[in-house]
Order: sequence, then structure tokens, then C-alpha cells
Amino acid sequence: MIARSFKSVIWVATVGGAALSCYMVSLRVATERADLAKVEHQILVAKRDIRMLQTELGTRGRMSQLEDWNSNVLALSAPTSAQFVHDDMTLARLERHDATVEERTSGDVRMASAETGVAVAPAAPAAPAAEAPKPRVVTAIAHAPPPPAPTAVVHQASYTIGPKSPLGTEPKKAEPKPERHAKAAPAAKPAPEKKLAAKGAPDNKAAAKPAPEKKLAAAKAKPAPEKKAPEKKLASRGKIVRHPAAAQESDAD
Amino acid sequence: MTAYVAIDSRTAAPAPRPGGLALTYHRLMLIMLVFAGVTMLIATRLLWLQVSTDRSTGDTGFNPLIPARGDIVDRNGIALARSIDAWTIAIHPDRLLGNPEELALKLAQLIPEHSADDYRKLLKSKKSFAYLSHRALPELVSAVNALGEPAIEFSREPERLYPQTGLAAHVLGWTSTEGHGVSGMEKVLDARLTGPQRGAPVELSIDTRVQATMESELAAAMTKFSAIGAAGVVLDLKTGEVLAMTSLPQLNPNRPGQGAVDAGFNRATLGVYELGSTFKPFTVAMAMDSGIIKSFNQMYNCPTGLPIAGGHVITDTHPFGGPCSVADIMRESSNIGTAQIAAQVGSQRQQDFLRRMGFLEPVQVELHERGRTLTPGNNWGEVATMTVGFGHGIAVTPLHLALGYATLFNGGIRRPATLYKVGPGHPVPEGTRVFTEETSRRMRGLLRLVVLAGTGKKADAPGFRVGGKTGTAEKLQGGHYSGSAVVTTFAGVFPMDEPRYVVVAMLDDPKATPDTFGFHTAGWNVAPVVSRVVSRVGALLGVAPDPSREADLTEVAAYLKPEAKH
Repeated sequence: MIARSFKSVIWVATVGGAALSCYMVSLRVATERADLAKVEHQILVAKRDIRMLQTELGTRGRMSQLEDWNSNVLALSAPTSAQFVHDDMTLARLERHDATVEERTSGDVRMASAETGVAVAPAAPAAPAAEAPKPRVVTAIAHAPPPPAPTAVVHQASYTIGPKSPLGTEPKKAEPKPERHAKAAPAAKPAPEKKLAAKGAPDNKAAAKPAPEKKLAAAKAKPAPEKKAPEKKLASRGKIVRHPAAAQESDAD
Repeated sequence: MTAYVAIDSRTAAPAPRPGGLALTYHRLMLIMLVFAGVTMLIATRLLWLQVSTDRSTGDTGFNPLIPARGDIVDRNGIALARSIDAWTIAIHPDRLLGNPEELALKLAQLIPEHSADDYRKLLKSKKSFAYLSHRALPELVSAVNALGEPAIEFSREPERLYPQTGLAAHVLGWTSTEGHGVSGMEKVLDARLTGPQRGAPVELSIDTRVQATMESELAAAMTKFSAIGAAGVVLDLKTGEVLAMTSLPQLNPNRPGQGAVDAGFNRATLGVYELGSTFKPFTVAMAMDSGIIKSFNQMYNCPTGLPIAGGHVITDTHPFGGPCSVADIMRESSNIGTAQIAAQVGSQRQQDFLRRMGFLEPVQVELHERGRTLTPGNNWGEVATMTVGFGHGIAVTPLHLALGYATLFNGGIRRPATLYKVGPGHPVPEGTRVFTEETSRRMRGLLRLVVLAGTGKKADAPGFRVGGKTGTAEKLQGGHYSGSAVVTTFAGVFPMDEPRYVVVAMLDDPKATPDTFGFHTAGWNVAPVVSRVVSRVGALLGVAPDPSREADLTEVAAYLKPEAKH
């Protein structure tokens, strides 16, 4: 009875609800469309910006400008015909020939390497000094104190000036290792080489001979003053390392 | 507790009149109708909007990415010409609110292209519109905006920008302020660049890197030798594509009105020059094709002077004073020897060859700026044949010369030069045969000899097997040749074992300098330009320098040492 008397109201509500939901759907679609249009517009704007920026970049990096920079600032020039390689053989021949240990030590050259962290048993007890003219490699293996990580040691050795550097103690622990021949040198880590390179100059020992790569730099002998602190530390170790026979500098290589 | 009694006022109200109720209903109905009508109106309008509005934006209508004028790019897609939206500052003097005196001073400070007086005149002129600045920088726009004058209007208008500034300016040409091409490819492509296809850029055959190299090397030589002008062409000899074409003095198409007076003149296609000894290989090739020259060892009599009709005497810069072979003639660039070969070829045959090479008509290229060849015309007798044989008495453009060398070294087939990148839509034309393949092949050794042991030594680029010919021609000044002003040219081809590119460089009126020992001949000033250009761009063009490769020199082996035979 009640339902019948409310029938019309229910109908109106149903139709109204349906219409409303249809409208909502349509509104939703319209919103999505508007968003899409907005994004499309943004894309267009971005593309226009890209074009504009490309134009600007192209104008700033125009050929005449690049050529100016190439010739006046960077001093670059076109590769010559000799710089072109045509076959594998020529390419292989291009490989820079690094001097072997024998070649490097044909002069009176001392080499040292520091291995940090891992204790290495000496291969043989310290050998007496060989005859001076005979080239050899003397390798010192310094055991770093356990607490600092090996990398840290290397790092500080190269760059830290502070007196509390762990390296300061390191040389004391360093044990002169017997001459390690041949293969040891190529394996020498870059960091130790650097240390040694720096080492050569400060206490003005003519004998100080760093790794061959750094020979010229060390030969010039006058270190930059700000490098003094680490150099001295290294030098102390260098004394231990240095072979008694260490004699003259040699540029022969 | 208080009791209230409410008196029902309705009972007190007078009884409604019988007609009054009907009237009320009537009014109510009217109001309802009005409401319904308005609602219907709004609903109809909404429906209409719903139906009529097209939401598919982007598909139709204006696409801002399509420029007002299409782009021009080089063969690698580097923009050579673009349209940008640039700020334009304009003023409506009739709507001026501020003080014209003050404003004129401020404008003169900000835009110093005109004086304060000019601005004052403009501001008082009561004109309705005038431009103050095209392509203004944003800083200038904000500075002018800060003047606060409402009569000044700022707008963004499409402007043509040449990002590479002067690069390939004569190829590109430039546009007028209305945005139409005035010269160069801008003019040729005007319809294409403003038409419906303008969204896609036009690809030219120009290679920006080669073009820049050519321009910088030529400009350096031009400065060094105080030349009044220069031209250069790099051509792909198999397809006829122009990879670089330049004319100096430089022109900036962004500001075409500025610069040297003759900067707008394209020396490469519009200027015609007597290109001198660079013609000699053509004469030799003609003689080979005609069966006159069978071997480069064929001997001619080369006295120190060769008298010809009209009382003139042909002379050589390196006189032989005795017998000389074809290879000698080419190596030492002998006018006397070449004149004799040309005479053997004969006037008719020479004209026929030159016509087939396209030397008697304006050069075949898309540009409108093409110079008319100057020839002996009806006066093409034996003397003219002899002088044309070594490049005098005939004036062609440097592009003609490049095309001639392309014809001679691509197997003998003449194709027109093109500034469009060859590809789909721009196929390589069939071409017509001018020289035999055999002649084309044998000429390689001869021109390589010129560079290895002759006048063109300074054009050699190590590893690139450059071959070519120098040419020094006296300029006609006031109707007669004067030894002081010359046009020096080098036409080179590389790599000579498998020719691929032609390089032509020309200097107009170079002067001698101390390091050329007083010479102003091509071997001293323009040949080094070719050497440097080839060594810089050779590898970019896919020619690997290889000292182990060499052109076939068996025919000229005996002449490789200058002392070997004289």
C-alpha cells in the first residue's frame, strides 16, 4: 500500500539517479579529456622548448665558434694520416711498450712496494747488498697496522698532512724485505709508487730513486713545499727501504 | 505555570473570494512556465554545447610545431636555417602618452641602432605603427617594457634564424623581412618552405663540417695573401652533390644588409673567371679521346715562346726550350705545349667537348644565381682554341670547373651539380658520357704526377692521394691582361686511386708574400688550402688516409723526379 503510494516518487528517484550517474560519467570523461588535452598541450610546449633550446645550442655551438675554441683555446688539430690505423698488425704495434723490469733497472734503480693489511712472509732473509752496478729491485713490504683499512692507509699516505696520520707509525713496522726480483716490480701498486716518487726529494739524498715512471719528476728534486709533511714521513720509511748501495741517479731507461 | 492561548488567525481571516483562487493559480502557472522556459533554454544550450564542441584538439587546427617557414638542414640533419619566434618591439606613435623627448632619449640608449633625433621624429610623426626592433633580446624587451609607455607593443613574430651564421650563406641565401626567400636556396625553395610540406625539413647536400673547414681555410688564405675574394667547392664526383660551396668575403644571412659590399655576390656560381691552367687536363683528355695523344710520352716541341696569329706570343713560366712530353707539359703547366695540343684538337671538337661538359651554358645547379659563361663566341678560331686550351679566353664559374673535374674523373660522365641530398626523391641523374672511361682512368696518374712532382706539390695531403692541377690566370683589367692581378685556382681530386671528391679552391687577386718568395701563383697560395682542406675533411668523408696506397703511376713513373727528363 505504502509502496504503491510512493511508486511515483521511487520512479522519479530512479530516473533522477540514473540521469545523475550518466551525468557524472560524462563529467568524468570530460575531466579526463581536459587532462589529456592539458598533457598534450604540455607536450607541445615541451617540444617547442626542445626546439628552441636545440636552436640555441646549435647557434652557440656553431661551427665557426667550435673552430675558434679548437684552434685558440684547446689547440686541437685534425688527426694526421699517421694517426690512422688500417690493420690489426699496425694497431698491435701501437701498443706502448712498457719497459720490463730488466730494462727499468738497467740503471741504478730502486723500487719498493708496500703491501698493506696482508702479512707476506719474506721469501728469503735479507740478502746482503749486491754489487752496486748490478741493477736490482728492492722491495719493502710494510705491514700496515691492523685498524685502518688498507685503502685508508694509502689514502692518507698520499694526502694527509696531519701528524697523527697512521702512516706516521707505519715506517717503523716496515721491514726491509730482501730483494724481490723481476716480477715484483710490475705488480707494484700505484699508490706505493706515488709515495716513493714523493719521497725522493726532501732530504735531498741524491740516491733517492723513485719508481721509473716518476723519475724525471724526482730528478728535478725541488718538491712543492706543501708536500713536505707526508714526504718526510715517507722519507723515513724510504731510509729503511733504501738499499745501502743506492747511489746515483740515473735517467737511463 | 502560565498557560498561553494562541488565537488562530485563519479563523479571523476573511473568506477567499471565489475568483481570487483562480487568479492565484493562473499566476502560479505563469511563473512556473517562466521557470520551465528558462530551464529548458539553459538545458538546450547545454545540449547544444555538448554536441557542437569538438574536444579532439591537436588533431585539427593549428599545430605550433609546424614552423611558419620550414627548416633547412644539412646532409647530417644539422640546422642551417630555422624559424624562431622572436620578440618584436613596435610602437604606435599616435597613441603615445609619455613625453616624446624623454622617451626618444631612453630609446636611443636602449636601442642604439638609431639616434635620439630619429626616435624623436618617429614619436612625433603621429604614425599609427612603426617597428622599433626586430629579433630583440629578452633583456631588451624587459628594459623597454620598464619604460612603461603603453604605446609600445611587444609581440612574438616568426623570424628566420641561421644558427651557423655565415656558414654556407651563399648556398642558403636569405629572406626578406616579409619572410620570403630573396636569394640562394631560400628563394629556390620558397614555395616548398611555406607550403603544406613545411613541417618536414629540406635536406641539403651540404656537409656543415666540410663547409666550415673550406670556409676557414679559404678565409685564412684570403687574409694571408690579401686577396679580394675567394671561392671554394667540394663536390661528390659520383653523384654531383655539393658538399661545400663557399664564397668569400663572408656574409651573415641573419643580417644580409651588413658586411662587405660584394659579400652578397656568389663567386662560386655567379662569378665567372678565366681559370687558367686548370683547363689543361681537359685539353689533354680531349686529345686522348680524339686519338691525338696515345701516350704521355708523346713529344711536342716546346720553344721558349710560341708566336701565334695576331702578333702575340705564348710563353711559359717554366720554359723548356726544347722537346717536351705530354707528362712534362702537364707537370710544369706548359702553355706552349697545351696550345699545340689544343690546336690539334681543333676548334670544332673543342667546342663540342666543352658544350657536352656544360661549359658553354650557365652551370647546372638549383640556385638562381648562375653566371653566364664568357667564350670566344663567333671568334673561336685557332688562336682562341689555343688560349682556351690553357684556360684563357673562356670564363666559367668555379662550380663549372668542379663539375668538369667530376666529369673527367668519375669515368667520363657528366651530371649536374645538386644542392639536394641524394636519396629517395632525389636520385642520382643518369648523366651523359663526355670522355671515355679509359681516358678518365689514365688521367688519374697524370694529375697525381702534377701533385707529386709538378706545380701542385703543396696541394698534397699525406695519405690522401690528391691529384690536381694549379691554375694562375691574369685578370682582365681595363680590357687588357695585367700581370699584377691574378686569379689562382687549384682543382684537386682525391683519392686518386679511386676518385671520390673534387675540391676546387680559388683566390681572387692574391698578393705575393715573403714566404711565397714573391710568387703569387696558385702553387704557392691556393694549393696549400686544398692540402689542408683534404687532410681535415678526408677522413670525415670516409676516405681513410693510407700511405701504402697510391694511384696507378705506371704511365708517368719516368717523370716522378723532376730531374728525370727534360
